[in-house]
Amino acid sequence: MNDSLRATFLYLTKTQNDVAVEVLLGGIDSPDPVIREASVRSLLERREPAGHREIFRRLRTFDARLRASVAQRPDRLLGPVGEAMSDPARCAAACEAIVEYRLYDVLPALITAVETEGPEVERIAKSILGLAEAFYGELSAPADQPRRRDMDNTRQKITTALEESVKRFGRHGRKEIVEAFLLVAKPQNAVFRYQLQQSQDPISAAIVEILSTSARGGVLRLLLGFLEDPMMPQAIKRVIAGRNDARFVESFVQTAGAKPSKGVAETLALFDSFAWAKPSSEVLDQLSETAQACAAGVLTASAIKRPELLGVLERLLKQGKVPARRAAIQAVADIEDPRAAAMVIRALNDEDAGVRAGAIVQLRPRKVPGALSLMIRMADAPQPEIREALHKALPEFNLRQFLVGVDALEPAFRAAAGGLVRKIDPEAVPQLAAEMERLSPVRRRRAIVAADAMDVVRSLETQVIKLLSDEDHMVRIEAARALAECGTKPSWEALRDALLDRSVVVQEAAEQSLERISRMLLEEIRDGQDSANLEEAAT
Amino acid sequence: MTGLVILGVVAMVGVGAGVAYWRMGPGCKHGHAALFRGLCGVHGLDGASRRLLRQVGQHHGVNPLARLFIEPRWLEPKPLEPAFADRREQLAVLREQLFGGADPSSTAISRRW
Repeated sequence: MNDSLRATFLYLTKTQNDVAVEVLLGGIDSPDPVIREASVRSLLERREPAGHREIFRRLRTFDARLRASVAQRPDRLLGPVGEAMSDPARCAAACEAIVEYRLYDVLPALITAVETEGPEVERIAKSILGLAEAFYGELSAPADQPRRRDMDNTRQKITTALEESVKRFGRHGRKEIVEAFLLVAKPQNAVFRYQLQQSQDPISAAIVEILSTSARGGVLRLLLGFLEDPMMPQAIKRVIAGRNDARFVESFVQTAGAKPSKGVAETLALFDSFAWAKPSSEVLDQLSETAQACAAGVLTASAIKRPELLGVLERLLKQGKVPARRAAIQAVADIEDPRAAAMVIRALNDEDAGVRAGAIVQLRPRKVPGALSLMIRMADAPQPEIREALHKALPEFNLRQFLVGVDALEPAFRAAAGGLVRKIDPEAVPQLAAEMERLSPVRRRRAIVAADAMDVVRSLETQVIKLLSDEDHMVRIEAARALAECGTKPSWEALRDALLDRSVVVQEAAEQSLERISRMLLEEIRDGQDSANLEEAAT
Repeated sequence: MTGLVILGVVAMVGVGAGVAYWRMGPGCKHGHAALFRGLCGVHGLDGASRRLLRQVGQHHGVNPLARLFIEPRWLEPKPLEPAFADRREQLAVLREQLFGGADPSSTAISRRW
């Protein structure tokens, strides 16, 4: 808007001359959207009810931009909406405006209209519910602190108005009012708790019915608010245990979490069954992968019977999404049962490495026959989860243990064990390098023997070459033997220098290694020539 | 003495009549005329411009006249030809004063009118 028009509208907004309204009403019909919007804004700023009434009358014809302008001053609609409520012809428009512009102040009037059984009672009852749902939407949206204070006051007003009407449920019997109340009430609300306990009263049945069936966010929030309340009313406990709809189960398990907090776990321990916790439950398939994973944690924390628990975990392991299968295999870990052991063995064939890793660590504690050979066969798996699991499951296959017994092992078994240590212990090679620097010559020598057995001399070539000049001749002998594996130029040169070593035994070892390297090189050359001849003959 | 009283009464009646005239007329803060005056004041229109604007309003039959300030179509030159042909420049200045520097969308719309 340009400055001239802005000045015009500022004057029309501020002037005490009430005929400005007449001019502004003409502005609503302007073909220029800027003038239309400015006219609406000015009319809403002004106090004259005639302007507000006209805006309400034309509300349904307004475009999004004009509606947004009205949303800036929804309080101006209170008067016209209140008038329209009693007029059957305008009641629908009023109800629409009430929900769209969240006219919370109209709520008491709406409740009165419903309780007095007017002609539009159905529509008004739905508006009450719509209004409560809109308010819940605002409550759940993040808001700044000052706004939050306003919201608290509004919530108090809405709750009080609805509480009074809920108490009169016997007279009006409107479930919309009860549901609206449940949308905004807190779990500790005294009226809610009191009415819930009146088991002979129709209101109690209505509350339980709504809590059991409503998928509205506010109702779910109310139910889930009891998750940290081990003293929850029995009716609430029955509702939570009995709900079997995906929306509720999803919220329930996600709120409880994969690893429930102490408070939540205490509450979950009160439940010995859940309607959805059945191996045949279709709801489990409808859950998101996070929720499926949380479901395993929730069931483990609950007091559900072992066969049922295993049944659901088995189902998750078979048909669940990856996080759920991982959670299920972990949940099985604490269960000593032949069925659980069978599940673990089956999980070793899972396509996900995380699930297989979860199963690997359970094999030995469960004393699964052939567990060791099963795990040794997995040592070649490239996945880091599997290697980590094997490292955990086979603690004896680590470098420290291997170094202690390496001298006593038969050469053939030494190589096999060394290969396993290399695959299972991710820290083995760096630890070996450190071991080669030890003060003790015995430990330095063992490190070379272990490196040779583990077939990692090439990775530690620099350190081994250095040990060829070690002060201890036993270390030098092992270094000379080990370097035969390398066959590189630095190793060759180091071995050639070792031919002049002060110890004859070291000289002999170096000579043998050099011969071995020479043989290997010759074989390579011969293989190369053979293949060249073959190619020549073929061409 | 009596003469003074009579003079006083006459003076008071005169002042009262003056105030009443002012309130009903140029000093009146309510009504369409006052709104028109107020808007003219906001845009700093001089006597000639006010007269021209009033004539334009009468020419088009715009009622109330204050609508001229939010409806640019009335100041479009074409419909005012030939009655205002000799005051084309004045009209352009007036339009600029009331809707000048208009953003492109509103100008385009007023042209279409």
